[in-house]
Amino acid sequence: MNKLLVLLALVATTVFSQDLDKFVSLKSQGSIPLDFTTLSTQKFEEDHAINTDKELDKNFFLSTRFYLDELLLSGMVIFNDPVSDYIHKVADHLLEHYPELKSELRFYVLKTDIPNAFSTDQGVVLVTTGLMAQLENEAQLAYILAHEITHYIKKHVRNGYIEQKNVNHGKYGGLTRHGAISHLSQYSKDLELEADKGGIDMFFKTDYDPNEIFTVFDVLLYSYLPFDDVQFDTGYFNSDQLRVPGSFFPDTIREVSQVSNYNDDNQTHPNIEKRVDVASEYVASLELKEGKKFILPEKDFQYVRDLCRFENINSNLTGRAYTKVLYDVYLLKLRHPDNRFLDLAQLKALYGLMKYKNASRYSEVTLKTSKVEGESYKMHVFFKELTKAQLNVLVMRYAIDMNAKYPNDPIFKLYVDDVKKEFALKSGIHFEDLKSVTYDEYLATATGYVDTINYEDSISKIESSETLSKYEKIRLKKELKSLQQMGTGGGASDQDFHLFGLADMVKEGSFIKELKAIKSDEEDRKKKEYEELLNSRGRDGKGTHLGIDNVVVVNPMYENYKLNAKQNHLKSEDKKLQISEVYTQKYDKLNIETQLVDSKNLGSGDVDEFNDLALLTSWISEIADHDDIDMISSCHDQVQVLTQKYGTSHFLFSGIFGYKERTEATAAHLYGILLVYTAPIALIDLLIVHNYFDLVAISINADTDEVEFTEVQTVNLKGIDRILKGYVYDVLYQLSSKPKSDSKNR
Amino acid sequence: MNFRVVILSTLMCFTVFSWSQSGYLGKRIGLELGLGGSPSRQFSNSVKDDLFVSRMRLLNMSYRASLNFVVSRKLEMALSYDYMRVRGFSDEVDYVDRDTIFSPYLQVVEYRMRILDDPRFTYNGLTYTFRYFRLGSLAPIGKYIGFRCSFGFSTLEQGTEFMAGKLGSNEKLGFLVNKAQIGDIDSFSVGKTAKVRTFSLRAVIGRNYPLTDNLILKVGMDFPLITRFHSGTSNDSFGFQVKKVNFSESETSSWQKYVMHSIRGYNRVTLEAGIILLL
Repeated sequence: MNKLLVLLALVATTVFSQDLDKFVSLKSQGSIPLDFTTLSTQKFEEDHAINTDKELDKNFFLSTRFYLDELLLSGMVIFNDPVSDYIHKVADHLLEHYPELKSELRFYVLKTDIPNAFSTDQGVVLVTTGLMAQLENEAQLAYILAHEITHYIKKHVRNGYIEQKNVNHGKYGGLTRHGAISHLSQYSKDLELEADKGGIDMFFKTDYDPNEIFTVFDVLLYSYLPFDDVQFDTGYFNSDQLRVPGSFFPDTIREVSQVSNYNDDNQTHPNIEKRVDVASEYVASLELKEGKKFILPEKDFQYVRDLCRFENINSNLTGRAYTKVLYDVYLLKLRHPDNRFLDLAQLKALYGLMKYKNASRYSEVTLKTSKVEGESYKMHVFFKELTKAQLNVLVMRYAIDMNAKYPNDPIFKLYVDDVKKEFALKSGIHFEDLKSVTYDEYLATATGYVDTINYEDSISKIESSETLSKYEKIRLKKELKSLQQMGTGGGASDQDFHLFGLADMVKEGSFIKELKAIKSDEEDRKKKEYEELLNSRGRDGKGTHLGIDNVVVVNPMYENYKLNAKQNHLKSEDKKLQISEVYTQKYDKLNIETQLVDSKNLGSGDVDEFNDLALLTSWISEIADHDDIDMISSCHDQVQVLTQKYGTSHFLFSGIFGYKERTEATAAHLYGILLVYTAPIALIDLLIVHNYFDLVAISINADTDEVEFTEVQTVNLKGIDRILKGYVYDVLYQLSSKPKSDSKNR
Repeated sequence: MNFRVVILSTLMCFTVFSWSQSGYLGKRIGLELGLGGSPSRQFSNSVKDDLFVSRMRLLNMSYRASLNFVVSRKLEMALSYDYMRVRGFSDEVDYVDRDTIFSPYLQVVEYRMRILDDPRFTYNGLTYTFRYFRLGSLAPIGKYIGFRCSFGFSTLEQGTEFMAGKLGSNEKLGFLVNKAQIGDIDSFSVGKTAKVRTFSLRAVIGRNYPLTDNLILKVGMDFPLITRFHSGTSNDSFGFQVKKVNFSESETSSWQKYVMHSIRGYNRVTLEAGIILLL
């Protein structure tokens, strides 16, 4: 028995001692819980059948079961991972006196930077990594769980639903739209205060420190800020070769402005001041006692919190919040200075900023500086003010330095190559402007002789020169002016700091040649591409021909909507299962193998498939957001592992959305009716319900992170099985068929 | 080169040069058997149980066998053989029998009668159809519009019997059927074979439903756009202008006009349905 305990302790230690340096992402482990593997239809039917609550209707069970399942299977929810396990342990302690609840409740982690926790009527409690990253101790987590469990015990989801129904059915008289929202908001706030009190009751039955109840409210109040507020070191991006002048950073920051008594009208939660007041009053009525901040080992909490902070970096990279990532990385590097994951994350974030700045879409990937508060403000302002050229050099410098630090790591090499390409094609830098001395060297040598230069004489010599070209004259005059300003203490050359940042590379000589070669190759490629475009005929008739023989079909979607635009959940799930079958069916005339990764076909042992699906879902979402920017996705390295596993780099994402519509009345209908003879046609056109389905299919090549195939069609037909089969076949045909020139060559 | 060749070659080129397709589950060739029903307002006459019966032909049936071929994701072409065995229309036609009387002087007597039992004739046609699948449909499933070029050969055989005569007084007129006692009736036969060639260009609209992986149900209709008749050496072209036709048995061209008149009656909007077997 003792040996067994020692073994268990060892296993536990191993799980918790995952090296953060080798961190990749948080993944689900072990066997998949029933919450994830049971079909929503089955959950709905079972729960609806045993329901004895007469106030709850079919729609309640439909909406709650299907919406929760959509979230559970979105790839953002994880289970049996170190964070979920830790939450379970805290919940176990909390529920020591509630054995029935212990068996009913399930705790999972939602991977998102947004700090939140919530519970459902089905006993599922979700805590986000964003919230975990902000917490200071275990007791705070325990109180949040107690609050959420109270929502479950008091059936707040059910009560909220019924209240909304009452409002909709006019139980409170003819409320205006504003009145209805206000009423429901107030009701929701009352439920929150009730959950606060219930949470306090539960919390008081444990050994946790009651004072932590109030620190939780502080955490919530400032949770919109990064997980820490540390002064930003303006020399952070400096290296041996590159020095960013301090003048690029603002002297002051925007102070944190959030107050606890903010306006909570029309919000679901009361403001923090009200919550603190109610909690204080309630706690005062209870018998105060001493308590602990940690019952489990403190290092376990810190480890789990670090995992969440690391995972949030992944979420923010996928969500393209690059400046946010950089500040988080900065904070984490203070404690993990030589961490590969953080080094890579910083490179990915800088790379993202560069790509979006070059594409003039920078505003999509950063917050408005007017909305940034605290110490991260300096970093946000810095990146906003950097020019395209300056940012390109900064990223190039960092990529080269990281490649040197991790010489055998292919992902760093990949980034360096792509940054070079971007630098050559889009930075707008004249390669000749790059200096072969560092900024410090330049200043040291230049300041020695600037005073000896006769500027007027030099300028007249340049202007009267017959050997210099127009452009050389302009360049030389600029340089002279810059030296003159340096001599008079103008410091204008701060703006040129980037030109000195790649001195070592420029000195080598081959760097500039390489950039020029990239530029010339790209021009040739574009020319060829243009010629191919001219030679190609209309896509509508030809279709696409990729010649793919193996494709992974990722979670084909089907959503069916009624005439009133409400989703028909049951039909949607049923059809989704059929579509998945259609994709995996063997077609004699197609030379393509399909492998299905589907959220609705998971067994308890398919945890790897579940994780694959989560990764692929976040991958496609990021690539879709990048749209026309060709760039390496932030999870490229992880997806590469999947290409090895599935033996193909082609991943197909598809969705079918069936709906019904009536033709909208137009002037033509009115004229049609007035003309009498055409009235029947006009009336039929107005009355008849048209069936449509939208088909979307996108295939992405994981080697290049590029969309290689897109099919988007609106079809004016009813999406019956045999018709959908024809469309699925057509998608597979376009992927598998070989281009005509290839067929001829064979 | 006339306009028929231009239309046909344009359609052929359009389809052939967009040669890239998946078909339905990879099947691009289909054999089709179809029925066409052409609603009309024409009455065709017959004699039944010594009564004259003039019945409105609500639906004139034709039969079609086609070879369909999907030529691109949106286009399908078809070559068809059409067959019709129909009774002519003589509701606007009088039959005039001429006879010679050898009385003290030679006299040709014209005896104007009504055709009481129309002769039957056959129509054989070759059709090239071009369908464009629209509103997101992929050939050969879904909704289509298109054109159809038909070359038809109608033959009213020599010796085909028909009856003509006069009606009695008590005629019963109905909406769909007219009946009357027969006053006078005689049996005649067509003197010479009448042959008429037809070219028509029609617009097609319809949709195909997949029944199984190999069978498709086709439902549609077509509308005449241009119709031209050719009656051999006479090379007369009538179009749709002729409202009243007078002819006599002995004139071959008159029987051609009779056939043309009847074909025109069938050549209106046609409803069609068919089953396509995919190969």
